[in-house]
Amino acid sequence: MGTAYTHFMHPGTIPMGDFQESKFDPLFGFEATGRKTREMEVTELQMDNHNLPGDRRDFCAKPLMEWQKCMYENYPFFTKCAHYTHAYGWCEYEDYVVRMKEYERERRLMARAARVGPERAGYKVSAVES
Amino acid sequence: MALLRQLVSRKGLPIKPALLYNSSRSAARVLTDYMPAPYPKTEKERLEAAKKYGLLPEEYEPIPDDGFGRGDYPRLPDIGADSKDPWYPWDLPEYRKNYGEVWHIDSDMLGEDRCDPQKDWWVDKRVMVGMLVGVLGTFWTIAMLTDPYPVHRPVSAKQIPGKAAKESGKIYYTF
Repeated sequence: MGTAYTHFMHPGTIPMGDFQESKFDPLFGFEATGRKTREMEVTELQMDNHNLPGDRRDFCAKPLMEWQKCMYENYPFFTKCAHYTHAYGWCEYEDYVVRMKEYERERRLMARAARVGPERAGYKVSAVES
Repeated sequence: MALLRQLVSRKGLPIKPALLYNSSRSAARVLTDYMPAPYPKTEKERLEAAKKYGLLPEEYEPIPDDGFGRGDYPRLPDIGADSKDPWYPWDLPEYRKNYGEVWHIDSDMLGEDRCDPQKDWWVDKRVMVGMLVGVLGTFWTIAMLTDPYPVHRPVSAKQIPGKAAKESGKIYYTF
């Protein structure tokens, strides 16, 4: 069902979407194997030199910069940059998939927290207590 | 001047009267030509002012001498162009005025595209305000009631690794 319907009929069963921080420890459930961190492939200086706006400085900054550079160098023959166009789109798609997975993890952990109680739920430990 | 008039009034002279008339017709006037005279105090001044503005003496009523320098300019009813008859053959249809008709002191505001104090709005002003408040209030109420139940995409927040994330100690993981 839609999110509004679920929020109304079954409150507290799904996360609030992309405008709420996760309540759970990102490493909860990964104690044995650990989790791979996402690393930026470009530095802040490179993005500054490229004049990249703040909302574009996500994990797809590198393909975006390559694409824009190609567009600049091959103007007006943009079809030469088809590879970079698709590389950037694919990167954004994969970033979106990661976000969808994070949402699904949050939803399942919420269901688990309702089942096992808040003690074993794996909530994030606030920085004040640690 | 008299010599000039003599010259142009006789036929066969080299100065054509039309040339002189033309120059006087197209002569640009200065702003002082349009300035009103001082506020009329006596009855004679009042009648002269009414005649100057092309109004009947009983129609003529000067704007009160309130210090804004309107002088003897007449106070006319506040009728906007929108309230005037659109089918009457006006001399100046864009202003809905006739030639020689005296202009309202606020005629810049009373054009067809501006205010019209006499306009029949068909709806009472209180009803208008009620409609505005009603519509806005209805939408505000709906917005407030549905605020806890948002429609959103089933994704987590956009992951922006930058200075803000570093300062808050945020680390992004993949699967």
